[in-house]
Amino acid sequence: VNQFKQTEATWNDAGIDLSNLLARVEYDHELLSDLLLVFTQEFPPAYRLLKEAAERRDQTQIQIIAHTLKGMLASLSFVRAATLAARIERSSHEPAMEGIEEYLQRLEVETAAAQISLTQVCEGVLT
Amino acid sequence: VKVLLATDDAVSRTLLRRTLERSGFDVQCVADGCSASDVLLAPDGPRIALLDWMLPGQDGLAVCRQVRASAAYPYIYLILLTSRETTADIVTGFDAGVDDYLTKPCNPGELIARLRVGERALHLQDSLKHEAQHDPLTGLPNRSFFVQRLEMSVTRARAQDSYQFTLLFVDIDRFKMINDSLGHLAGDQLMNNVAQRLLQVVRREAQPIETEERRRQGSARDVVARIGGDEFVILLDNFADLDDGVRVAERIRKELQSPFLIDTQQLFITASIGISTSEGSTTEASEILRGADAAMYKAKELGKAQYQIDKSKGKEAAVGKLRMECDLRHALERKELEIFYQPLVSLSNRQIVSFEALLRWRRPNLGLEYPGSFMHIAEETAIIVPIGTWILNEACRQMAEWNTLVDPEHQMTMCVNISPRQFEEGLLVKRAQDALWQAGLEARFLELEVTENLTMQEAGRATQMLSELSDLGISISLDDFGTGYSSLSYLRRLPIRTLKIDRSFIAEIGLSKEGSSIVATIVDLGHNLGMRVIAEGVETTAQLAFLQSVHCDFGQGYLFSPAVNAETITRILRHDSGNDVVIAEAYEPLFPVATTIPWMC
Repeated sequence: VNQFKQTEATWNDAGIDLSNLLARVEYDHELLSDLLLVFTQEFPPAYRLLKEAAERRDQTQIQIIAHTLKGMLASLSFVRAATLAARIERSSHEPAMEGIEEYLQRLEVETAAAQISLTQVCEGVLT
Repeated sequence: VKVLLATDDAVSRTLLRRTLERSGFDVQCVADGCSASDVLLAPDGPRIALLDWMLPGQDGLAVCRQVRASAAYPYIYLILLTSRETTADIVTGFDAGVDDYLTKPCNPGELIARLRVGERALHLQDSLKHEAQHDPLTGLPNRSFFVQRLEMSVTRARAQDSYQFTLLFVDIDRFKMINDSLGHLAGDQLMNNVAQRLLQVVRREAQPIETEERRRQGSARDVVARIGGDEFVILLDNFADLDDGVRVAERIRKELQSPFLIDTQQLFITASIGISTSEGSTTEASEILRGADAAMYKAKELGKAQYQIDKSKGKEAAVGKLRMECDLRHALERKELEIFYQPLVSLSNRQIVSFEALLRWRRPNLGLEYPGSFMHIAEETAIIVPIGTWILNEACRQMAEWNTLVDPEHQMTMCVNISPRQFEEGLLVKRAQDALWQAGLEARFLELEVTENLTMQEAGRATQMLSELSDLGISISLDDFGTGYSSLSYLRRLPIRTLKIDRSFIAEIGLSKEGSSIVATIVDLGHNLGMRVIAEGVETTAQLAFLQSVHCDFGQGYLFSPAVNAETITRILRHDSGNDVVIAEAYEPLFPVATTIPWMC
C-alpha cells in the first residue's frame, strides 16, 4: 500500500484517480497488472474502430464503442480519458457531432499518458 | 452461487470476475446479450446475473424482459450494471424486471454486499416455494406439487409414444383408529415412518423441484407425495405397464409388513393400494388420479390390505394383450415371422464360427417387432412351442444350405434358443432330431441355448433331456451366464459345452475394475470346466481387446455385426464361396463400423 501511495502524485498528473483505483482492485498488484494487460490488448483495436466510425459518421457505432471505452477507462480510473469517451458518446447523439475529432485526438493522447504512467508504476511496484 | 457476468468491456469483466471469485462466487462470463439470455434460460443456469445495460446483440434490459417473460423456475436475481443514474433510467430498469442496479465502475464492497442481498432473497424465495410445495410433516411433495408433476408426465406421455407412467394411490388402513387411540402425535410419527418406507421402494427424485426442461433431459425418477392425512401417491416414472405397478405395490405391502415402533409400542399396519397408468386414452392428470383413487377404494371394499387395478386400465391392457395373442397365433400361418441371424466370431482367427437364430415378427401396419415386445405373451400362452419348433426347423434348414456354400473345413454351427415351455412339453429331443433329419444337417452343427434359470428350475428333467441331446451330438450352451442362480456343482454335471457371458458384464469392461474382473473370472471358470466361452454384446474395440487378453474364445455383438436377414448372409457366403469366411472380408463392406477396427482392415 505504501509503495502505491508514494507514486500517487505521478498518477494524478497522468489523469488517474489513484485512491479510487487502488480501492477498486483492493490493493492487489497482480490484478492491477492483469487489468493493464487486458487494457493494452483491447483499447487499440476499439479506438481504431471508433475512429473509422467517426470518419463514416456512423453515429450508432460511435455510441456503442465510445460507451464500451468509457466503461473500460472508468474501471481503470483514467478519469480524463473516461470523460473524453463520455463526451464522444454524448456527441454521437447530436446530428452535427460537433468537436468529435478533437475529442478523439485528446482521448488518444490522454489514454497513452495514463497507460504509460500506470505501466511504469506497476513495474515499479512489482520490482 | 453461480453468477452470470455479462459485459462487453474486457477490463470490467476481468475486474468484476476476480472480485466475485475472491468472495466465493462461481462466475460465468459472456460479452453479449444473446449469450446472456442463452445461459440464463438454460437448465441449471446461474441464479444471479450482473447485466451491463449496453450489450451487443441484445441490451441488458431486453435480457431482463426475456428472463421475466419465461415461466421457468427457479427465479433469477437480476442486477443491472449502468453508468446512467437518472431516476427515469432506474425506473425503466425496474420496470424491465431488474431486482437491483449498480453504477459503474463498481465499488467491490458494494458489489459483494448487493450480491449477498440477492442470495438472501433467493434463499427466502426457495424456502417459501419449498414450503408451499411440500408436506411439513414428512417433507414429501404435497398435493398441489404432485399434481403439477403429474401434469408434466401427462404432457410428456401425450408427446412421446414411448413414455408411460404408473400411478399408485396408497391409503393406510385403519389410520383413524390409530390416531384416535394413540393420539395425533403418534399418528404423525407413524406417517413420517411410512413416508420413509415408501421412499425405500422407489427410485428417488434427485431434484426436489422439477422443470419441464429437466423432465425432458433427466432419467426416470419416481415421486412419492403425501396428499392427505393417511393418503400417499406414487408416480412411477417411465414404467411401462400395470405389471410394473403391481410389482411395486407388492414391494410396498412387504415394506409395510414389519412393525413400526411408535413410543415404545409396536404397531402393525396395512395399506390399500389403487393402481392406474398413463396407458390408453387418458388425457388428464385428474382422470388418472381419480382412477387410482377409485381402485384404492375398491381395495378397501374388498377387505383392505390389498391392491386393485383401475378397472378401465385393466380392461384396456387385457384387450391389448388379447389382440396381440390372437395376432401371434396367426403370425406363423400368415408367414409374418422371420429369423434374423447374428454371427459369432472366433476372437483368435476372426472366423465366423456360428450364427444365433433370432426371431422377428413383421407385424402388419406395426413394422418389425423384437421378441421383447411379444415373447412374454408367447411364453404365457404356450404359443412359443409351435413357434420354437418352426425356428428349430427353419434354422437347421438354413444352416444346412449355408454349409454347402463354404469350405468343408469351415462348416458353421447354428445356435437356437430354447424356451422353458419347450422343455415342459417333453418333446424337445424328438423335435430336434426331426429338424436335423428334415434339413439333412449333422447334429454337431446344431447348438441349443438354454438359460441358467431354466436348468436350475427344471433340474431333474433338464439333466436328462440335455444329456439325451448331447448324446445325439447336439451342443448345449448356457445363455446369459451370470444373471441367474447357477449352482456351480450342479452346472458341472450338465453336458454344457459353451458359456455365454451376459452382455451386462461385457458392458462393464473398462468401466470398473470389478466389471473386468468378473468377465476374466467367468472366462477362467468356463475354461477350467472344459467349456468354451462366448462374450455377448461386444460393442467396442476396448471390450474386444480385453476379451482377447483374457483368452475368451468367441464374441458376438454390434462390433462385428448386428442380426441380419438370411438373404444378406447368403449373399456374403456366395461371394466368399470356397474361402474361409472371415468377418473382416465378409462384413467390412456391410458394416462400416468394422472399418474403424485396425485388425479388420
